[in-house]
Amino acid sequence: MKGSFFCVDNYIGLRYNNITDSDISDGDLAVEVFILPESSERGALTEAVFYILLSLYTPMHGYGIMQNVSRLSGGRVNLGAGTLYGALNTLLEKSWIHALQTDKDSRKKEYVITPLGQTAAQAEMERLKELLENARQIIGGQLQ
Amino acid sequence: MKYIVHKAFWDYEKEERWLNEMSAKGLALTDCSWMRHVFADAPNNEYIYRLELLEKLPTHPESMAYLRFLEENGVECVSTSGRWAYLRKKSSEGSFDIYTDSNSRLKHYKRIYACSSVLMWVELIAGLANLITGLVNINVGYKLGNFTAGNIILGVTMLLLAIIFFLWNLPLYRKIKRLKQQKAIME
Repeated sequence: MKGSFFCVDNYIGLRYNNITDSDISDGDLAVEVFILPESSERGALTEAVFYILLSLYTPMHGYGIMQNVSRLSGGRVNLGAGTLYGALNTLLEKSWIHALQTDKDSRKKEYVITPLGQTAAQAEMERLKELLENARQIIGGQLQ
Repeated sequence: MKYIVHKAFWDYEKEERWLNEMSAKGLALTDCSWMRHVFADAPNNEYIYRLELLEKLPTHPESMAYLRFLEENGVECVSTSGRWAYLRKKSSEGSFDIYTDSNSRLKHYKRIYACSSVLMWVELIAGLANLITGLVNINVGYKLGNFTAGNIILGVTMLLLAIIFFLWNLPLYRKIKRLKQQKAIME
């Protein structure tokens, strides 16, 4: 089969763009396949979105996400409530995160990343690795 | 004690700055309807104020969901005026900006620009319509009626208003252009 396998949290995913019947034969292990859009559509995630996705590897509510992102970035990235709202809605539409059922009393909705979202975060990590590797070779320098 | 100040602003960021200056002096905005701003006594700098033009009217479910989300994150909506929301947050909780990355900031600026440039377009089109009607009428020997003078005066007035609106909108247009140029290089 063409494509590359990766494993995220016990999920075996196949990153591939065209799967046909001839690729799958009887007796093959059933795997969940995420068809990512073509690279031209995928593109880079914004800092804000990437940090939101990373934060949601643990269930979290809005204010928690803002604080966590600030912490992760050493105070450099401070999400505004409006920016966060827009990003959360877009991520929900893409099914990269989903909202958790909260008790009736709780007013704060919690969100968590989905396997599809983890795939996107993984892809972004690969992209950043590539950038970093090239930068290291050309600019040089070692990160601590 | 309640203080009422009538003040009109074209530029919403100037209004924000004024509200924050008032807040620094110990006067916190509690209500606002068009030009009528109502203030109450408060500790100096207790609140930071921001204005946002909502996508829909405040009574729309989308707007209500958004305002509820803001509330859950410590942002209080003191008042709405049309689609404008007057928001505030306690300064003790840190800095307060609603839109922090260039994508969402640009979206907000464009929304405001679309809203305020409508006035310019309306005056421009109506002005031209009046002016042309008047001039054509003169050319065809007043066949269309006896209101030519009115038409031309009205047309010119409207065009002047269109120019005024255009000049008022220019700073925002430049801001948007600068932000777009910045986006070409970085987020």
